[in-house]
Amino acid sequence: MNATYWPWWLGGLGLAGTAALYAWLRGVPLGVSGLLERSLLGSGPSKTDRPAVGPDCGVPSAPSAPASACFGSGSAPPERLPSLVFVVSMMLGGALAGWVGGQGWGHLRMAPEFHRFFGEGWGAVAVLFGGGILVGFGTRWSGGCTSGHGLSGCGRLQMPSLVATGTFFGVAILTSLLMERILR
Amino acid sequence: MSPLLLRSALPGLLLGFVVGRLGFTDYGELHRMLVFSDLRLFSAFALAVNLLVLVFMTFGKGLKLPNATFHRGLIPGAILFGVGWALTGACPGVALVQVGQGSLPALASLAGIGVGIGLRQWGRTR
Repeated sequence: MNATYWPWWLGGLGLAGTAALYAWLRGVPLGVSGLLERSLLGSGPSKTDRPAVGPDCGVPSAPSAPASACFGSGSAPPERLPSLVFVVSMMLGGALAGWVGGQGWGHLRMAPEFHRFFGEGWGAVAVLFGGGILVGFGTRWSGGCTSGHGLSGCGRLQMPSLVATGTFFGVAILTSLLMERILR
Repeated sequence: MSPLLLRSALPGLLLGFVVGRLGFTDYGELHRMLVFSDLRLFSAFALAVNLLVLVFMTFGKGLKLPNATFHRGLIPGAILFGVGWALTGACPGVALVQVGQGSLPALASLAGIGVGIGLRQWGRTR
């Protein structure tokens, strides 16, 4: 659609290369939602208060679950500062991409499709905020997001991640098709 | 910057750049993938997964990465995420990159994601 974006094969190479680089440099699978969680909440409780469960998605009622239950939570989960550095670096990478790609910096609106569905006012802001809560809660409950389950987990053919990825892709497709039917 | 932090900064910078240049942060591009009218992003994702399968099959043993497990929240969490992803166009990484690109509305998405992460933590430790 948009000629300024990378072709699919370059994007695929970039995503795979980044996930592989991260696993190699850090010794844990890449997972952005876990990194964001640790940069916001720190890693304190995950190591001391909840030793029997993974810091990402452990279930308190399942003390038998291994500490490495989820992604981004290996034997040596990244601490708060490296997580924060990753998060800020990712923002800077985005700024750089906007500059190189010609999209520039600073946008007051989403893409036109979003406003076609949800209008321009505070209702649209509420959708972003409310949807964001679903994304934050859901990814941590599920123990991974597009990177943790989608790239790192599926890339290692982990059955739970394949199931989770199929689920969030399927639900997102159904939701989008529904939006096209009832909101346009 | 210490080597430890550099090991986080480098992939972070790279991932933000790739996600931005690929157009994953463009709501229209993502929506067109989810309604099958443009499969560019889906193809990129599928290629990445296939390449990673090869990479991890070849080098994965030495890394000793932890295994994923089936746990109670795996599927319900993924369902909530799928709905939120379709509505906002944001997964956690995308929201970060959008904010990095100076998107004002993405601040609402990222704030929501932060609240959601906090709610999940609160629900887990309560």
